[in-house]
Amino acid sequence: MVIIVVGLHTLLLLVYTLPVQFVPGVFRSLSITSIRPLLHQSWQLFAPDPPPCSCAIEVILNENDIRPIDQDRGYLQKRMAQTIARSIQSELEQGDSLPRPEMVRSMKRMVGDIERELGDLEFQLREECIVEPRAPTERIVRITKLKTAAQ
Amino acid sequence: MNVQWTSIRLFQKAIHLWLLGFLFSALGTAEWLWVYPVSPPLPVPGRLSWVTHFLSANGSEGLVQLALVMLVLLSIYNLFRPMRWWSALVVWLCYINLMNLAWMAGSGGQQLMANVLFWNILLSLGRENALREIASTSAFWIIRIQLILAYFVTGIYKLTGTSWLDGTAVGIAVTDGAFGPEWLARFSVITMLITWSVLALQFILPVAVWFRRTRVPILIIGATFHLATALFMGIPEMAFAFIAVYAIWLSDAESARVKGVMTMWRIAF
Repeated sequence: MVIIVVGLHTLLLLVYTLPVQFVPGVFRSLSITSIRPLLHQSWQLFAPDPPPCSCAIEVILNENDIRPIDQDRGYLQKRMAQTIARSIQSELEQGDSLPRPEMVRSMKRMVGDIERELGDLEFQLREECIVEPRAPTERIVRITKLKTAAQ
Repeated sequence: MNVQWTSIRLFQKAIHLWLLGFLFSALGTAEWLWVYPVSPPLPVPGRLSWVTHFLSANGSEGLVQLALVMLVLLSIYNLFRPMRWWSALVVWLCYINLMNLAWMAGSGGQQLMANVLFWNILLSLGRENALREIASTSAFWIIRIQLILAYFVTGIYKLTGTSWLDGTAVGIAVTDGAFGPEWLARFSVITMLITWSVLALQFILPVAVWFRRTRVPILIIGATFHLATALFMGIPEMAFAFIAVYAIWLSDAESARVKGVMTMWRIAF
């Protein structure tokens, strides 16, 4: 009995977590129905490859004062800022000119204390992209101003 | 299907210690994580998911505070008292709801912990009768397999890319401003060796833990790797989550030795 339960669960978990190209679609949907509601998981940190462009959202206070939105408040704040940056980076790559409103709200919430003092703030996406994987320290910097004022 | 009951107790203590450490480390960020969450509410997939996304969908500040207080109190209770299934259930409910409320701050370590806390409910049923024993034995093996599956699957994903195979992955990762340490990229031979070692670890660990002679050495190597990621790459809770779950793979004799070392440590300090 135990072997059947453990074996079946392991099979479903493998089907749910392995790369899609290895799993037939019908098994995939079965695993999504059974695993996703309570046991969702994904194991893709730095996989299949680490991202070639690092990214960060920065808040522009003035020409000389541009800060990352996590404001050095610890690793969880940094992680949230990174999730926002990755999401916005992916939206811009897909050709959207405006970040989704919920991402703008998240960005503004991260710097709520500054915004209360200074009013509407401007944000930018800062990307640092590798040119040659064997020389990863040499990166090209790309700055994209984000249109967020109206949202 | 031998169940290592001494190891289970050590494992349960380790995961509750992790919970307390994680909550303590999140205190300074609680406002952005849970009180006025930065993370937008996730769409809830399926009916059962209301259980795991209740706070995201209907959470008030009071409910969030209640979940946090219950999680702290029951984690302390579970550290010192024999586990009860109801206490494991409440811990899982509070934890997974708080995790989903702050999903933007999530990590694989937090997901691993959510899963093992779920199976810990069944694990806590003990062996009072045959049905309970089947449930807890299944949970014991599912948690063991969950841990090694995480390594195996991430290893497979890495094989589908190019940078883990050509040895450049760690160099790229450490020069990403979100991780680090950038200085490591100056030693390209070392970053290549680390890249291939990490890839090898992800396939060797799931095999080596099954054998008495290789189990403890591979877990020590794994723990060293995770400690390095905690120290240098800014993913401490992920590192400690994996190390805490390692206890489930120890035999009762190995757990007794770990307990002995911890007792000597306590006496010495």
